[in-house]
Amino acid sequence: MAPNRSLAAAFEDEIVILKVDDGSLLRLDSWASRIWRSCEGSTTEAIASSARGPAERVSETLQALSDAGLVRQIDAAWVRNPVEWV
Amino acid sequence: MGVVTQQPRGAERLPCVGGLVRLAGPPQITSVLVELLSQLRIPPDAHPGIDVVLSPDGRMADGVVDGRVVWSIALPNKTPAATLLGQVVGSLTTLLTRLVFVHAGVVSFHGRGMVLVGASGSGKTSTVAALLRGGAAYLSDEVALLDPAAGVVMPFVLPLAVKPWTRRAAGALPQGRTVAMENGVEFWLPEGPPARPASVETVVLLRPGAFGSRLSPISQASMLLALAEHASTFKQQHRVADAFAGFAAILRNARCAVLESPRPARQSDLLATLRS
Repeated sequence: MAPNRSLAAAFEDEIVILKVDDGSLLRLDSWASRIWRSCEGSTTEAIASSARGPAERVSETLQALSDAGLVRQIDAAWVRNPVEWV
Repeated sequence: MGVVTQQPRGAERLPCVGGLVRLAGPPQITSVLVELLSQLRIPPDAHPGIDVVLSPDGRMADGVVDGRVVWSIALPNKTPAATLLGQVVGSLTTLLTRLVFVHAGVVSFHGRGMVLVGASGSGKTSTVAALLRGGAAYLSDEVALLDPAAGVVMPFVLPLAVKPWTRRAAGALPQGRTVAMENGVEFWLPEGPPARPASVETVVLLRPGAFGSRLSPISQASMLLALAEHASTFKQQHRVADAFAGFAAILRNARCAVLESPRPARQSDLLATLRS
């Protein structure tokens, strides 16, 4: 099955993502945007270190991003699901 | 864009010179619609044109595009013209595939556009009227028609639909004239030079507020989500990606704010602060 198409738009430090198939919109605030952008094959610990935030908060954010279908974990590494920038 | 009336189906048809809306049906309804639509000017390249054909008794209407009936509606006794106007506007905005739209009032100040987004009853018309009295130019009371490639809002000049409570909220109306009346609604066309496209400088979300008035900045991302909640290109399933990209492009260059007020029309001074 083809993956759902998503579009992303950046506004200053926030990002809005559209899931085209169901028309749903997700707004990532400054913090969530930073974590999401960090998901380039890094572990939770590495992301927490670079984000300079509490590990627990980073972990919660990653789980929320995963629940929203924006990231996935391959082994221990987090990667973003593909989006088209507009 | 022009509007041409035609005889009912089967009668000889009038030519449609430069027109994008052609009306055929009983004159008591089509003559009102001609008045309501006569100020619309949409680039001809943006639209294939629509035929609106009423039944001889004025109770039914069909919308025809490229020879195909795309909608068919029953018209109410009391407000046939207003109902049909809404349907025609909906068709026009659906067919403008190069552009995106949102249900909003629009004015401009020296070529700088202010888009006022709000649900029905939120005070768009009365706020537009108040801003026009203060010297703004009129672009629309109903539809913000946006050209993302150019970063502008296009004029979509329909008369203001002034309901009795709108008049009370707005106070005096700007200079203009009544072009039609229907069941207590006065269709008021403001005077002024022909409207021109304007850059989208500010987008304001009107929200009813129980106490006091407050104008607060909101992020462009939050405004994008708000636009998706209103009648707009976002609601056209096949154009949701266009809507997202188009509104995002427009909002990146716009200042965004929320005006919470029980009477937004009285806050035109507050709105003026967004222009500085």
